[in-house]
Amino acid sequence: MLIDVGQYLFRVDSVPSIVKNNLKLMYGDAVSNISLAPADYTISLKHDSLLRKFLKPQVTFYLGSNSPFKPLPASQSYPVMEWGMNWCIAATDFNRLIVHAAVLVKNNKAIVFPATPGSGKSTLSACFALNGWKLYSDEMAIIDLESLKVMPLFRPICLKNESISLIKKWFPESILTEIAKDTQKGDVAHLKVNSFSEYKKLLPTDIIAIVFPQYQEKTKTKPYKINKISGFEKLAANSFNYNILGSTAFNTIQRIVERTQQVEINYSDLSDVDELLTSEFTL
Amino acid sequence: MNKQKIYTYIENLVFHNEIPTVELKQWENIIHVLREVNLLAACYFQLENEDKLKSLPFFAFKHMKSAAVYSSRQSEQVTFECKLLQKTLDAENIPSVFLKGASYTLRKSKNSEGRVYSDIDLLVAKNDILKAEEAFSKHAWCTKKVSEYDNKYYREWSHEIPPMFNMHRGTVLDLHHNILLPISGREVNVEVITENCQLVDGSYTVLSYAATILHSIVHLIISEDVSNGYRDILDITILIKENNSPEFWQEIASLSSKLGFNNELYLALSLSEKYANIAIPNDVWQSFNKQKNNSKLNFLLNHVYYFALQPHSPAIQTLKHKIAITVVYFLGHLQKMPLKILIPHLFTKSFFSIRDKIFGKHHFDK
Repeated sequence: MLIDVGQYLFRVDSVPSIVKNNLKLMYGDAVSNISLAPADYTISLKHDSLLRKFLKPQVTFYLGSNSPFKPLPASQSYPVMEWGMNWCIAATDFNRLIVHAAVLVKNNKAIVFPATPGSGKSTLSACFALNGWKLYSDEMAIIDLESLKVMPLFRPICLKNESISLIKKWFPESILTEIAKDTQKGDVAHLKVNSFSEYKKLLPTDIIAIVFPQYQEKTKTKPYKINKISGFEKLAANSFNYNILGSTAFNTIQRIVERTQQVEINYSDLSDVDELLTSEFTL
Repeated sequence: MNKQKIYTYIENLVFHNEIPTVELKQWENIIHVLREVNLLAACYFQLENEDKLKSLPFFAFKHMKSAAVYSSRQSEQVTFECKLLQKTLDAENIPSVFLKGASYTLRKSKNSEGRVYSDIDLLVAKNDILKAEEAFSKHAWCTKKVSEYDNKYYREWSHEIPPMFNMHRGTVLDLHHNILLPISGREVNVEVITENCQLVDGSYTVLSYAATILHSIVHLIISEDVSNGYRDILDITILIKENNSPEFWQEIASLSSKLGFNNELYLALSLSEKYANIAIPNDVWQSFNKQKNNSKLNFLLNHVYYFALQPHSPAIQTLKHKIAITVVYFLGHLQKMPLKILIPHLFTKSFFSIRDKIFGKHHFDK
């Protein structure tokens, strides 16, 4: 089975059938001429040991014959698969700057939302993506080192805890995997927001702003411009490969920060954030 | 593409810088095998030196390039760590020698380009080892927690202490007091090896080239774990090519005779010839008369080591490779330990391995 996530091609070697079904649900419409292309990664998810298959079953993620993580309970199989795919990209692609962030695009302008704690990044991604914005990524901003454009990925959104029921309530038609309970991130479900044919229309896009949302109960939506230095620091701190790219990453982030605005937004209502960004950046 | 064919393309690429002429899709296996044996970056730099990068399809180029970025960062990191380690050693007046990967990077030998490391290897005198451990511990180097059994193994029988790691940067340091296990029945006189050390950049001591290569050879041949064997034999062939002078051959031959490593040298040189067409000078070849007629050694060469060192990847491995790797595992242990220690050691190891197979590898982790 081949999975085309846009920038990367995964060959899935062997996975439990429940994972296969979820993969089909999330990526099944990604049909193109991929069977002629070489895959970037061969991955699999395997049961740990014979006894463990029946007693408190666990699964281990493999890239080739290496496993980067300790085994996890089999009930978390699908999230482990998705996180393993994230790991493959973050641990081996040093040709682009990769930032732990959501990327949403409106009117050909990209906004990067770094994954600072409490930002509500995934709920925001889901809400925006189901409300007219184009989702480029929920998890990683893939930024070209020359053009500084951000590249689209074809991946589902990883929803956690309360946001699962919120999204189900707000968008009853949405396509979700079943919930994996008690993972490291709590309860987790994956949400498909793009069809592959919609995804195929997305192009590399210029970043216009770096936005750091901060959820605060009952607060009025307020933007604060932050200075370039702290914008730089926050972007660098959220970059997966800043350490490896070294001076290239430093220069790239400097150029991004110079060309974009950095804004912190306190919010309690996501539609206010949408409205604010749309008017602020004429989206 | 069958396994043998994939392997032939890989050998020609790694040892002869020949770019495979295959369909794009078939690059998948080649790139994945090279990734598993950590040779993507080495291929990148070798092809760059021969101005052949532009002949690569973009798929292969992007993966090699990305690995090259990673390895360059590691090389900077190793240089930086060595600087700090040397400063600590100087302050305590502890003489030391950087070994293996770190020494390749410090002296910038050709095989250091694109190399990735798991640790830094440092040799100090046996009497200094606890002093060095203590000095490093004041600079955020901690001793890795290992199981009680492994700790006892290291401290009582081994030639090194359990690995240390830097609390802030995660770098791993292996502190040795000999280049081989002392109980292998032929304790190596460290002084013979360190006699012709060289000073690099005015501050770091490394072994002479001949001693460096002999050390790599001995390490590879007596090791029970050859999962990095393909990279190790590549190191050896590149280092030999870089030093192919009569003086070098004389030094390595005389060192190996003095230390009693002629069998290992014979095996490694024959393997270098097999993989990389390294030409061994006649006089060196002639000095191996005894080895050439040793049928056990030649069996090991042609049927065990040649296959055991090839990439440990399912894309190219056949039963032949798996058997060869198992033979090397037992030989490696046998060479390092007398049977009365080896049998209980393997028994303990296999007990843990069976236990892990049943319960899963991390079930008993603390």
